[in-house]
Amino acid sequence: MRHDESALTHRANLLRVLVGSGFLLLFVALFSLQVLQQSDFAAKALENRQFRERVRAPRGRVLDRNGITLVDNRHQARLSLSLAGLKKDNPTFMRLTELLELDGDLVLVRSASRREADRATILKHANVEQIAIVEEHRSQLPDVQLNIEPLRQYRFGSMAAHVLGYIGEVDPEDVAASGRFGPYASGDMKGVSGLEGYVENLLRGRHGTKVVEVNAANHVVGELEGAGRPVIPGVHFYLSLSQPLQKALEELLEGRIGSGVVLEVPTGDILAIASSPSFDPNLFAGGLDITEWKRLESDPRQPLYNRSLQGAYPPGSPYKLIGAACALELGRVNPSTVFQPCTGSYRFGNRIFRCWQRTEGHGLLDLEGAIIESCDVYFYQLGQLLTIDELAATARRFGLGESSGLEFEADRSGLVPDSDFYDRRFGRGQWTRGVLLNNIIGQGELLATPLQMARAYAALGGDGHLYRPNLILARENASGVREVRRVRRVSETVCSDRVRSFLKRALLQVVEHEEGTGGLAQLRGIAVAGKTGTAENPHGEDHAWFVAYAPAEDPEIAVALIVENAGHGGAIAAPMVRALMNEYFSARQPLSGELGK
Amino acid sequence: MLRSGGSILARADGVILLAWIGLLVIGLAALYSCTVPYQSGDGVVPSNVDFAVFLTQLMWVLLGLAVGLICIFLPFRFFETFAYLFYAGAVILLVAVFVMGEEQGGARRWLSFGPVGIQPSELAKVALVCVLGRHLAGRRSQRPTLKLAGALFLALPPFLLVLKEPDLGTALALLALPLPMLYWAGIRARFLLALASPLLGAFVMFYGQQTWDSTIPWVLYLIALLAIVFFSRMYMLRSLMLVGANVLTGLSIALIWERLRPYQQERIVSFLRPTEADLLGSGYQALQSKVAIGSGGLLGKGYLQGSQKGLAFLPERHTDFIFSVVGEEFGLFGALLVLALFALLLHRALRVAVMARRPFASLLAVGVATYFCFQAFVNIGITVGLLPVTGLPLPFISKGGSSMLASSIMMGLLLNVSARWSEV
Repeated sequence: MRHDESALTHRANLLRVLVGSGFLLLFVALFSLQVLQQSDFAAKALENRQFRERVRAPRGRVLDRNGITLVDNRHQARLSLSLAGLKKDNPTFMRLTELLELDGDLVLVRSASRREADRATILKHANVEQIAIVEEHRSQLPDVQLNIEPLRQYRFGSMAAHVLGYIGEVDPEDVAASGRFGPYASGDMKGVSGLEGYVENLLRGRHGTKVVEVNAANHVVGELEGAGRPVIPGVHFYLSLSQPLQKALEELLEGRIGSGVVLEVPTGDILAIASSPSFDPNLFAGGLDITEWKRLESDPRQPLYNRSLQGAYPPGSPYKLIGAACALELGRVNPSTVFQPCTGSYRFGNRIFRCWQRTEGHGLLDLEGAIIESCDVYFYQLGQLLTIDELAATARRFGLGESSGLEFEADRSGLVPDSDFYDRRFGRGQWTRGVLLNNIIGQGELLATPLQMARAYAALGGDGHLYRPNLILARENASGVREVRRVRRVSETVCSDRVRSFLKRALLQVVEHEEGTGGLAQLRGIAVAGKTGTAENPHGEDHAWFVAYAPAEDPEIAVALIVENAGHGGAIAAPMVRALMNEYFSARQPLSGELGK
Repeated sequence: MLRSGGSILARADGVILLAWIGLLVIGLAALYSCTVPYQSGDGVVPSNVDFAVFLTQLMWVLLGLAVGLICIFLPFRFFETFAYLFYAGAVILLVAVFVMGEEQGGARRWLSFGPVGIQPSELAKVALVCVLGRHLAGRRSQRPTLKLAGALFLALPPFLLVLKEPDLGTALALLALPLPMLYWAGIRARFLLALASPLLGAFVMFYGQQTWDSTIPWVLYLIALLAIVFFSRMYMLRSLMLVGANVLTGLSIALIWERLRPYQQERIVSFLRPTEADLLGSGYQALQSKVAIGSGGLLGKGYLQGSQKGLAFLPERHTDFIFSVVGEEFGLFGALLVLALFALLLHRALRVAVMARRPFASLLAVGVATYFCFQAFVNIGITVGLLPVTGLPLPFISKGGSSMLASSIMMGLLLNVSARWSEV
């Protein structure tokens, strides 16, 4: 490139022209904006303020198997103020508290922790009068916003409270972890227990955002199109529960401490499951009330405790069926085996073990008779033909000693002691076969939950297989209803068919035979089979058990019911089960498979 | 042979120096304004741009001044000798961004060394100018096509690397830098135009569809092209080739775009503009910028008193949209002042380029002028809504250490050349 000044100058000029025209274009644009359209833009800047608002996703509903709504949302009105205006001497704040007759200091304290973005909540549930007052005096209350928001509603109060769970306000950690675009902001509610907690991430959906324009009078004048994110509503859940049956169960347990489970035998669906006493989740839906919470927590009857899944009790006499199954399978006894007759007590080593019929004893009985009359002495002798490990193995085959596999909150596994257990407990060689005597009648260290007992008896009465209990039947979202429940069963049977048919006969006689302990469970027109139990309780009166299924030949439902500190199973629990079954069979709920609608 | 510092400075073009200082002052003033709380009707709204940002920028300004001064005093043959080395270094740094770069807002542009971070793409601009100057100044009787090819080959690697980050704005800047320098080196304007036009046409078609969803801008462009071809009396074959190439690229862009499904279109768009920290989209940014500037009127709302800025309606106001702050608070006068300073810079830089006796120095001056003017045009064009939003800093005014550093080096080079061949 030679240095030719004139050529270069020429080129320089062309470049100047080029850039100059570009800058001229910019000048024209600037002139247009700042001179020609100045007033428009000035007006826009002054008048319009924009807020990005969160649009809350509606929380998913919970329904029973037939579509009866158990939990849904109603609406509440929330009053909020910008953070800048949250001061005692702020005129808007003063006017607001004056109009609504609120205590300014109290509001300041409460609102300090209820913030979202740049606003603070003054009133969480404004009632109709308060809303009217605010609207009437709108012009004196710039910067105050009224948002209509959902409030969780448990339609039937405390019904199925332990299963449904409840919601609570999110922790600061949840808010921090969410960041700017995450699911939780301060003041949000989230599922804390039960179903609400278990499928929280599906129930909550995903919130959306919208940008709204607000003018000087603080009315929303428009929404910025396309500047937001659509809401994804929460997923709805269909539970396996049957609301009428659940209601019946809870009414039966009213005023008592205990728990009950109703399983649909062919599928494993949980038709009803209750723990008493219970509580009303509606108390928590609007935000925790500390006094209520303390009251519930310190109640000695423990209403927050879910006895049906977490309550582990000595199974008592219903466990005798396990012992019988074990001995029959191993060929140690047969249906006509007899032992020393029952005189009311039995000597073993240097200890006396009693039968519950302690005065007269039962006399001479065969196996079926021993089951029917629930003779402890017969079983003490039967037990000695087994080892503790053999008994434990059978118990495990019946699903005891481990979690039921319910896809929900983990349910307790209970306790089935074997020789390892006793070795660890007492030391090797430090325990005797005497433990069998306790175990065989369902006492000692044995622990089982009502769910486990119902499941075991359902297998016994049904096809011999344990089924996985199901609580969640289906989900519904924008694309429709999708069944998610799978019927699952354990492939190994609980015992051989031969043994099972004998045991079933015996169980039917427990209810139908005149000497049977379960007579009060008889139901007209339906054959009920089951076993009573009276579990000894070192801390008070015995617990009353009744575990049954009906109709006996080809069961539709299995029920396990335990009432704490209530005395005899036959006297207390059996009639309750009868009432429950009556409810079921007279309403004749449709059987498994489809979601009846 | 170092002459005394003072005399060197005295020889350098004072107008350029003043323009430099002027832009720095405006930049710092605008940035300071961003950090100040806003006096609203009934309260004070704190700014979410921290004061520390201003202090950091101040530090970069001082550092830049120092670096710039060093560049003035260094014998500029230093730059000529090491041009290829700088270029290689810049490319290495750009590659390093892929390997060790920090991800931010969906793009990888930064390298961090402890508390300090640099954007190699900014330094790449400097390196490219130097290396192009060296290359084009090289052999005197080299055939134009070779020079052209060489220049494009040099620009390609940094362009691609930056495009992949992705940083569309800077990538385009890298592509734009060679063109005036090629022209200056003797390639004829028509040649360059012909070369660039299909690409230009494609861009016009794409942005026309993007911003206004219409092909009219492209049609206008085509008409202009035909007019130029006609009036420049090109050979028939060549004119046909030229127009044909343009039609080809324009239509293929249009057709491909139509074929794409919405989500694919979405992806391309967001690929090109990944710095959308808001859910709100670039339409929001552009609108707010215009509101800010427009509402400033002739004289502006007054220093520190911009409401769009103060109430945080103006996103990225301390970086890409800082010109909007100037427009809002200083009005048309302020905006034109900035334009005038850049225009002045251009004018004097070209003057320097004409006077410089060595080809390398002359080319350097043109490169520097391009660097400043292209970026200023694009950045301001975005803020007034003429161009779609891509990120390109306003030299000396936008917040950013790497940009400040690169701009200061460029300024230093310019003043260096100016001092060497000034009219005394």
